[in-house]
Amino acid sequence: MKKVISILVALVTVAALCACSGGGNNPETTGGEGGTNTDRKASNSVVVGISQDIDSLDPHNVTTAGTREVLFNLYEGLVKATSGGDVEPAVASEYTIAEDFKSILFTIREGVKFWDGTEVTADDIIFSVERYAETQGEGSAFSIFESIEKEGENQIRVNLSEPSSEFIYLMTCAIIPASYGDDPQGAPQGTGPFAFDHFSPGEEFVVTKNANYWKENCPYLDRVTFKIVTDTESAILQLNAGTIDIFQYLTADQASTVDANMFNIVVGSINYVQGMFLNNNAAPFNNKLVRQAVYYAVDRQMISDMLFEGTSHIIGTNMIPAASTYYNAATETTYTHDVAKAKELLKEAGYENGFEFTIKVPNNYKPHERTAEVIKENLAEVGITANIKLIDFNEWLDVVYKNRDYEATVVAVDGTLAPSSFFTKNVSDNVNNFTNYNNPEFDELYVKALSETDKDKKIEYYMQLQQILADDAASIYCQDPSNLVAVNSQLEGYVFFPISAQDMSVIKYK
Amino acid sequence: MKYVLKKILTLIIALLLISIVVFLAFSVIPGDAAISKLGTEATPERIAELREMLGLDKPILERYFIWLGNAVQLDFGTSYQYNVSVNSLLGTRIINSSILSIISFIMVIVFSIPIGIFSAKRRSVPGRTAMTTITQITMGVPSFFLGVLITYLFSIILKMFRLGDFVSPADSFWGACAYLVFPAIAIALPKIAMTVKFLTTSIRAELHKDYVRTAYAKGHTKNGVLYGHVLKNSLVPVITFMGVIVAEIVAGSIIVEKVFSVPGVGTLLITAITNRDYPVVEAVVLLFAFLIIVINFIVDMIYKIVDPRVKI
Repeated sequence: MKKVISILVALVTVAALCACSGGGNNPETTGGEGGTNTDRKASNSVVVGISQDIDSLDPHNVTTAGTREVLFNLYEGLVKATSGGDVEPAVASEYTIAEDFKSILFTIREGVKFWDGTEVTADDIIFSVERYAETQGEGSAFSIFESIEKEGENQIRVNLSEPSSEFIYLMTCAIIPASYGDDPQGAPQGTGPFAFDHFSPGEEFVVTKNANYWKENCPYLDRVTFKIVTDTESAILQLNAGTIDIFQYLTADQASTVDANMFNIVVGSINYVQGMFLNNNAAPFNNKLVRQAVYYAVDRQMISDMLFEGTSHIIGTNMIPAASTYYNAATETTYTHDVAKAKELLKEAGYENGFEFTIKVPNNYKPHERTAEVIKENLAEVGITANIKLIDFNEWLDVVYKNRDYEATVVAVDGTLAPSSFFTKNVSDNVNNFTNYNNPEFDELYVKALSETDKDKKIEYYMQLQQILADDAASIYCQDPSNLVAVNSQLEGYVFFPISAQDMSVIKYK
Repeated sequence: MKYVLKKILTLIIALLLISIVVFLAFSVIPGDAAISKLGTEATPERIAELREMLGLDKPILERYFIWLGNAVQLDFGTSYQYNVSVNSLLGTRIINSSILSIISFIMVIVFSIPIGIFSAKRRSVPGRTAMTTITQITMGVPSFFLGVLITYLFSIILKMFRLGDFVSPADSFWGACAYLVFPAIAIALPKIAMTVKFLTTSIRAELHKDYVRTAYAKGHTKNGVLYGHVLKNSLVPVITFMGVIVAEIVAGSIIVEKVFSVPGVGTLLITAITNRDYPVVEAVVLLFAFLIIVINFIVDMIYKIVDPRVKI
């Protein structure tokens, strides 16, 4: 018994010590890597909350959009994406696309260096492009890559097996050293404005300023910590507590709970096609009339109002408005919210008394859930019963995306700078045609659009492709969601990209 | 000695069974590690390639025995998600989680014993009702909800700590402890309430026994009887109860770590489950099982020491 008491006494003492240090806990002195907001300003560093863990440090093997957003700051290709949706020279100082669109000639920028100070050589570039080509599958847009070769002292030529005016967008693939060994997780090396510092899985990904960056006065910040916060509610608490400076993908409701004295809410577009995607092989969605009826029944404006206070862009086809050159705005009004019309179409299709189906919704992005709820209400008005089933994203990937075992699902799809990327998934024999969409006219036109080199004709083809998807009501395309970003009010320069990227090199303290 | 051997055998059998259950669970739930890792742009060839690399193409029984062979040598394989060894992922996280559990446990001891005694001494009806109400409410609130309240109160309003700004104990041990005090409160509070209730009942039961009357007859004061005689005896059942509490602290820390963004074993487990990172899940679940069995064993041992009548 005495022993027990002495143990207790010891425990009490330790507890008292802990309690003292707890009571005297002052965030100014015990703050971790980030320090306080003022400390961070003094050390010219920023903490960005990211909702997805980093899936790979190897730029050629990235899976998630979340990782691409971060690695955008570390790696560059011969060309680099701009916020306007085009490409600008990066590791190359200039490029010329051949008249037959079957090759591109790049001039290597003089004095481009990796983070460690070694100069980028033609061999590094050849190695990188060939390595990237290998990682891309046969059916990918990169499959028309034929060869890459040195030309003269400082030039590189990329040859294609088929003419393509869109291939330049793929040359954003990262340039890494040819010495990049068999251990891609080992020591990353790149040419981007920030250099890799360290990565703690599930916790943080830290980068520091690349002193050897080719562009003058870039980046402004010395250090950026990407802190992994998978739960949005927790992220909002951490914003308000001053732990993180930047967090994106908020809904209007969420943004309103962020402390307005500390943060500005910057509004942009996510550049995703969000909507209710339908399995075109599953009854009754194999009937075009039913799909059209559902489209008339869904009130897209209501979804936008509920989620983003009407700031999101309502769409009617599988394309983002930001791709303005190719975007077919007429599809936005192909369908209107018209309950009578929906009922009429249902009657014509033989579903006068409605039907019941299940919407499988991945639970990793709140707006999808909310969208499904609005659609459920809308469809109830025309006698259709929709059941919502929440599943986790990995289950979605396996069951819905790979095995296509579903009736309807609310998700968002994205694309690259190449406009064709938004249509590939609707080509009937594409491995990723998860909606089982099948329209020979569409397939034919897609091939024509891809190989067309005349810009006006190309635009015309892409416009038609979008109209076909709308007319067929291939899926219920709803909106390009708004991207509400909380940015520490001491910071400026935040920009949006039509691809997955969060550019930290342009951010600076006021 | 025989008892120890028996316990160790039980431990091994329990761990084996648990590892099989986790293995089976992962082959039943939808979601495939290779598909998860490669995402939406994966081609079937690449998925097949990765499955082969991860050994997922082999039959489940073979996979289990390969895993088991390595696990007995304490090699839990490589994380699918991060391509690093599971052991390296667990390393610092075990330390963080241990500190959190220890602080929570200390809080339970330090607060529940005095409050328990105090509560047992209250004889007035309103006093008792008040104590019971408070303990019942505290017991009923789930830890994660308390966690949210605590973060809001201490981090956002009082600014006593910065949520998510956890310092690794390697950098500053006391800094880490200072941060962990807050999640520890969330874990400990319901447990304190439970222990108080248990201790109060135990003391009150003891107070009605014959030896208490004898002690009073011998001229001891009220406090003398309580601290000199009753407390000792009423703590014996509490020790067993502590075993349960420790197990609950370990389990409760999983979700609370997540609420407070503590990079511990619990957060790792949650992430690993969502990513279908099977080797990590298996290792963490086994670790928890091991801990709980060992805690029970220790409780039995302590029980034997404090109460020599107990034969095990």
